[in-house]
Amino acid sequence: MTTATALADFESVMLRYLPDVTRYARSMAGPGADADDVVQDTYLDAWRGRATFDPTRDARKWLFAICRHAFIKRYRKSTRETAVGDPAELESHATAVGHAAAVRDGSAALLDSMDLGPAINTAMATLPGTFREVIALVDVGGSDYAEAAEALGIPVGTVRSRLFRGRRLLQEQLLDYARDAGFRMRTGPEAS
Amino acid sequence: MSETTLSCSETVRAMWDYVDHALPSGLRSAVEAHLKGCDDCTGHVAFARRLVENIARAPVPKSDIEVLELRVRGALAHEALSAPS
Repeated sequence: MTTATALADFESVMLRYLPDVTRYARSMAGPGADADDVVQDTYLDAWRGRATFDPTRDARKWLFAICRHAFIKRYRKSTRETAVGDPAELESHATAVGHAAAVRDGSAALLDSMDLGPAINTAMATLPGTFREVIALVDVGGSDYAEAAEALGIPVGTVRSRLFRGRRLLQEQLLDYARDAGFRMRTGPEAS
Repeated sequence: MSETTLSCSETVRAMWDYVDHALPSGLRSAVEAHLKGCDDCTGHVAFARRLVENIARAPVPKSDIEVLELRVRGALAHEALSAPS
């Protein structure tokens, strides 16, 4: 097989996941990190390591694993960090308490009627990296808790704590976004 | 065998594990039994699911992907053609 043919085969299989890999890289990248550089690194590393790809496995997950390593390599980010101590169940409880308050003040209903995509991208960028990387692995990358724990070198309990805390922080920001939008709707465009 | 009964507080503590399909089957059944009779907790779970779905589907503009695809294809071609095979 010529190099050109091998490259065409590689691109036909792997580039279909470019939107997914981009979403994953952007969910990991905070301020000061260029996610698109990480995406390019991911595809170059995947090409160099194509002999290790098992076609019976999930190509998307293989690319996500390479993407995570590319991100770490570029930004020299440690994969092993100390655990945060918040019990995960309390974060879950706090999320429900926040939602109950949002139902009472009407912001939950506002949120239901809104396109959350742009707000989520903005909110994700402001999350501390330890929470963002777990959300990227589980919610964007589709890893389960054990897979995320293995990827990060942390206990499953820490994955749950960070994931639930990160989601709660996102929830708070999205509800603030809905309250602001509701305020602007009530007061008219001149108030914004 | 009697089924475990959960309070609202116990249910919402298990909410994220439930949404992530990470609960053992007995506890999952107990959460589902509670949700059948509790509109408040059902609302919390629906909100939690929607949040996760929106995170997973956060949009990447099509124009960004088109530009990035050109960039990645160019980098791959450069890498493939310049490296010894």
